[in-house]
Amino acid sequence: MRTTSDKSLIEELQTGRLDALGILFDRHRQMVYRTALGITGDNEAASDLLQDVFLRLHRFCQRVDPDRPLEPWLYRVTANLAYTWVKQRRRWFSPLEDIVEWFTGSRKNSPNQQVELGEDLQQVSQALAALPLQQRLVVVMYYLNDLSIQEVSEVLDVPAGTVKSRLHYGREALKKQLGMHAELRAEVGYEFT
Amino acid sequence: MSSPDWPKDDPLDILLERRLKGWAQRSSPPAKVRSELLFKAAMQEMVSIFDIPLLGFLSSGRDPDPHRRRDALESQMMYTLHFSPVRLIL
Repeated sequence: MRTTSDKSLIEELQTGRLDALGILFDRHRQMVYRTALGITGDNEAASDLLQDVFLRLHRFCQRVDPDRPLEPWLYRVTANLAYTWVKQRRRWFSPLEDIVEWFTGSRKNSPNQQVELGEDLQQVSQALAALPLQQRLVVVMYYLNDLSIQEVSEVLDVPAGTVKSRLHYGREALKKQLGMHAELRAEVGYEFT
Repeated sequence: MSSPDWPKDDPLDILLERRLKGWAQRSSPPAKVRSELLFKAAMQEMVSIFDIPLLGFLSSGRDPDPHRRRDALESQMMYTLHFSPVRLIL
């Protein structure tokens, strides 16, 4: 079966065919959602951003060059929108949430959400959310989306050395958050050899 | 200062990568997002054809503050119903 290329679908979208948007959504939704969720740490926000990214693709499709790969465009828009969301949320909600959390000693996600996610997934979510935003962006692009350091550098428009450095510190912080100590290295070493 | 490069065969790095990838694989968007997207995209088409100021509806849901979100939506609705060509169509 022949798969329609992104190039053809963008060209169709540029002529006003909405079903092309549906196919592009089906093809890239997982990647966009994963990126948004990794950066925001919020399921609802990630769903909203997923929609927003593809609405932008629809609105600005005339400016998208069909001859260039679509994924870097999607990554860039997702990262920008998610970054803005985190910044805005931090400005409006963080102080209030901190006070509530301090009083109640509660975690940020509801008990239902915690059960839904499972303990390990919950731990990873919290560890990602605890990373400084710049490191989180790089970790999400590199680990969750399998981009190379060069590709991350191009998408985020920062030098490759900066990407490497943020990745290094992000990885160390994640290991610490997830309780992956040096002593564990010898234990897990057997598993991977 | 330690080098930002790392040994690719470090078991802890491999384990970390596995946990992160496992987390990513278990995360998927709700099914309703697709139908909502296509509906909103169709609305966008209408907006561009009739120049109806409905774009505010689409962006009003983005504000993280629920009160401001509701206010934005209400004001967009008032504007659309009272001052836009959509009133003529209705």
